[in-house]
Amino acid sequence: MPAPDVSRPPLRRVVGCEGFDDAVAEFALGLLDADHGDALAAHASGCERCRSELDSMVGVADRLVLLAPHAEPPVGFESSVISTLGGRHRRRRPRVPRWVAAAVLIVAMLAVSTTLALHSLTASDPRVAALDQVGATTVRSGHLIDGGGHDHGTVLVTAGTSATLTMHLLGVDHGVYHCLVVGPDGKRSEVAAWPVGGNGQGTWAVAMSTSTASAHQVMITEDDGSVVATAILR
Amino acid sequence: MTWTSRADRLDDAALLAAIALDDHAAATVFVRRHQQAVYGLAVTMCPDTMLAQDVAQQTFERVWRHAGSYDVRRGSATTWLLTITRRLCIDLFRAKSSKPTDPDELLRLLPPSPDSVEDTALARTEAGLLRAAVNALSPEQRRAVVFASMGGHTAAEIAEIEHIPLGTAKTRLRQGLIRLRADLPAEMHDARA
Repeated sequence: MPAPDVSRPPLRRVVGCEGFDDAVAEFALGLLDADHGDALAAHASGCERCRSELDSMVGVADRLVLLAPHAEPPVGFESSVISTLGGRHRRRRPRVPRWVAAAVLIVAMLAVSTTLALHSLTASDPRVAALDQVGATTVRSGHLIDGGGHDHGTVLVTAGTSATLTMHLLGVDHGVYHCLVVGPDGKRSEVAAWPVGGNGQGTWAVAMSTSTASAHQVMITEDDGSVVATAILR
Repeated sequence: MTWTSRADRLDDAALLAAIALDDHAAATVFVRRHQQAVYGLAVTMCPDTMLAQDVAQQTFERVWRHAGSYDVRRGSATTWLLTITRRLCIDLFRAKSSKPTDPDELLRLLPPSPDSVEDTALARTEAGLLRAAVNALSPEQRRAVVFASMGGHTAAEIAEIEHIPLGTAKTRLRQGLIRLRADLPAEMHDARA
């Protein structure tokens, strides 16, 4: 009769609050081995006091990278990095339809702004406070549709104490495109002009005045004024 | 009207949002804006300039792949970016692919006294506040914090470098971080800041 299998999985390391305190600084600095780090993370997930301690330690530890002085990289570094990014983009990254990516971005921004508005997080942080203000006012968006009904990207307008128009344009020819907003009275105002390269796409953002932020329509035109696509903001 | 890319007018968070949408122009602006900081940290931690250059390049490749994971509520884009650089350097040290910078060299990163940050504009920046706070630590705590953060040294390694018991090294490191947390403005260590 074969002997029963008495093998057991390896024991997981367990730490309490004392062990956590002993190693939290190294953990926050990313210096612990995986097993030890996992044990501390597991403890923190169930201990509010240690989780709070870890959060604030990580906040300090992460800032320490700012101690390093800036240094000029070797000649050719910038072009090497930029060309590599383009190459890896084409070879490795899965293709996601642009409209899906843009929609995800819009939904994410709406979710963030709504969440921030609901919870009124950290009024001391001007960045979060700024997002709060966006969440407390209006966010409108629309698809850029050409005369043939084709989708050429998305427009997002956030308006509160400040206003920003963010556009993702795709599927257009190489050239310069003008961004016009159309107010409720039908008046058109150009807010920006953007160059599009050979890949036929780009993403931009531009600050808007409060008067132009009330626009209900955004148009993209060519140099000669012909309309490429129009977005109705809702 | 002058036709120039407006991407260089975007703040880092907007650039990262654009990079997450595969916008190469935004990535170009981001690289140009941060390459000196990234390479500066890499070459500070890793004295081999070829490896430092490789770390800096890998940092931007990771940004390109993971820009969508950046959360503006958890810190500045600069901190997020440089944390990637730092972790890549530590990976090199752990894999024995490179030795960290000599501890004595690391200490030269800091001005000799808190008063040496004379430029008030610099002193008001996040980096200036951090330098002043690190300089205000006791010399023992300061060395432990710098060795761990810039040299990637564990408490055990600090104990060996400083010829002190392991418990003492851990205490110096932890107390150093606690003191920094107390001295720095809340928005510099709040996890949501």
